[in-house]
Amino acid sequence: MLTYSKYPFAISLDDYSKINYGYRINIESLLENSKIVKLARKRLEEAITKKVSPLKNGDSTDDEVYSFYLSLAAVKATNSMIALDIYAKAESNRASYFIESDNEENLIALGEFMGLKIEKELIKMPWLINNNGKIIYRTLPYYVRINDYLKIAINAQENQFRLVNSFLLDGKVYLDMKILKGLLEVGVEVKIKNIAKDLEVGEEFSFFSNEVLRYLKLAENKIPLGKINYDAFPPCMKSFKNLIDKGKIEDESLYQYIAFLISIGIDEDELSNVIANSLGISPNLSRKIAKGFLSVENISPYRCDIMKKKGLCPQDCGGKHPVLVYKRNVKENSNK
Amino acid sequence: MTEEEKEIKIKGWNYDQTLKYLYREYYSLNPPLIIPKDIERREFAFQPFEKQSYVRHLSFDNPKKLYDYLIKNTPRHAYYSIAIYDLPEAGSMEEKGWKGSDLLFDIDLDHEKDCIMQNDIADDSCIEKGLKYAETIAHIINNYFGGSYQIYFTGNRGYHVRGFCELCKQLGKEERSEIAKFIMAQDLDIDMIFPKSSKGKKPALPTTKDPGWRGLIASFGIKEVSREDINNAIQNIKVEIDSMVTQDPSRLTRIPGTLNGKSSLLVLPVCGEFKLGKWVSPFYGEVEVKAKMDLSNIKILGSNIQFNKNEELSLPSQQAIYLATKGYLTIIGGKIVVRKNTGWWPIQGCNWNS
Repeated sequence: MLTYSKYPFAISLDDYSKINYGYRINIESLLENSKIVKLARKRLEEAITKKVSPLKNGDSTDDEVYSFYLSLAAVKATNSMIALDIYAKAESNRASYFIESDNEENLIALGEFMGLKIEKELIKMPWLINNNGKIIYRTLPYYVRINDYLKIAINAQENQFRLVNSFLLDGKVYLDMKILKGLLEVGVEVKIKNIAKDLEVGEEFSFFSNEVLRYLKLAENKIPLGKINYDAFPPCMKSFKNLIDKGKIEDESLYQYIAFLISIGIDEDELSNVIANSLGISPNLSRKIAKGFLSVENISPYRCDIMKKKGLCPQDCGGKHPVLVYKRNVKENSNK
Repeated sequence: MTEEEKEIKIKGWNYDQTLKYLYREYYSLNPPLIIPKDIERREFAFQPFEKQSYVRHLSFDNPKKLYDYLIKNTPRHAYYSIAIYDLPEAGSMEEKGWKGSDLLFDIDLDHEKDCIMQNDIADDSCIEKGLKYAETIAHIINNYFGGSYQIYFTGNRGYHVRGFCELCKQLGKEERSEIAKFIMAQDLDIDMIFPKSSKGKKPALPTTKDPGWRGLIASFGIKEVSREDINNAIQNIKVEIDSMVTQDPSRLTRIPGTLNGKSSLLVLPVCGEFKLGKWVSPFYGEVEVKAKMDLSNIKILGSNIQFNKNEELSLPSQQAIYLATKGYLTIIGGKIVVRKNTGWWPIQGCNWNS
């Protein structure tokens, strides 16, 4: 019996909600569940930046299944093949931990779910011969049909999955447990991409998809996600922070500060606090504004020379661009 | 003269016009053709004598209509699809409703290093020796892909091997590319199929019953598991094919029994041994020819031929028409007999029940 907390992709959202609650939960309604949204964010963040989705995300199977589908919907909404590749690979990496220790019966069931009918039929071939002339056989206890095998194997990068390197005989590709597990991991990736193909996502996911793109950008720039490191701020951004604390910041400076915070990966909660403090507005309103800012694509502060020219930053900011200065400072601080 | 043949007196050679006339006479005899049983689900395509492009997306619901088409339109080349469709006559793949395709492997021997070639002409021995490649593919289809096969001489410089394997029918382009790479040993990594030596242990010899390339290498008969022996075996077994052909599920294949417009020879099924001879052409008789260029001694359709540019000589009709099709000579006059069946039909020795 497959455990959906381990393999959330192994059941459709419809089936899961119908079996457990007797009615269909649509993907949009998950956006109203703040716990699931938070878990989905964590899932995406780790998938993109750590290349593996969190092994445990929440307390229940519901949390795992719903956060998986919500994350996937956010990725789908980006229309980015790169984002989907990274996410599917990260989920496959997560699944590989469970596949590694799962039993044969479950692995066969997982294969079947992917359209990979795994049959048990042992063949052996002479593999090694020792000094006494004794032959040690390599045993291959499973097989999958050539057509099933190819449908999954063509998606693998590794040379070991090429048909030419497989143990093919009479239309059957024979496998040992290690190759089988590897094939299943590739199959997970393929399955997730296929689920994404059929997933219909609307406008309501646009804020989420921009967040995915932001994670991608941060991952690309190698800026660590997590808590903002205020000590690593370049001087001009430090001065903007002081002005906010004193309630004296100008509009353009505030915009540059927010653009900087978004570029270094601030999350919605923290950005909402910054906006609420600087503008003296209610948390509800500041959250809406924060969401709005986070949904803007490619937001970035000015380069240091432009900021200086505009009089926003009389001091030298210590480099060419405040984000690069921050990245360098974070690295230096962590090496201390 | 029987109703199986027709005699034609030739007074001159008008290139494509004469060839088209000869082809029409051949098709008018209702020669044996190997037509798929599911003819109504195959797309047919032809290259007319008058055009470089193909007339595609044709379908026939019975063999009679195909014969009528061949007689009325008399194409230079005739093909049908390895794919089966719901609506083969539709113009786009989407509309056609693809239901699956056979496997197809194309062996062109002009790249073969042991081949004696003069421009576009291959020596008989080249074609005959090249059959071993088709047989290797047949062996792989049979033993490794779990299917059956048909080999046929394309009528020019090589062979086509068709693979019939239920499991392979639905394979798409990328999957078929893996099939092609298997045949060509492309990306074969011997470290994946042979273990490395370790303390007190060395790799065991493979057996012919082993799966994958281990079994193929064993069939070559290596004496020890050394890189040199293994690589030597691989070089001898692998077959160079046109991978674009194998990858493409919508590819066309020649209709056995029709004429190949590059040579005017028949497209013929091969069962076991294959010896080129006069039977490969539906034409016989003797004609007077004038050479347009030099031809060094080469064996064509069972006999050696050589001539110099502008030389006038008598030649058997089948060789003359072959060389005229290739542009080596023109036919001045003489007698050509067109035969319905050169003896290749009915097929002996293998199952061509397609």
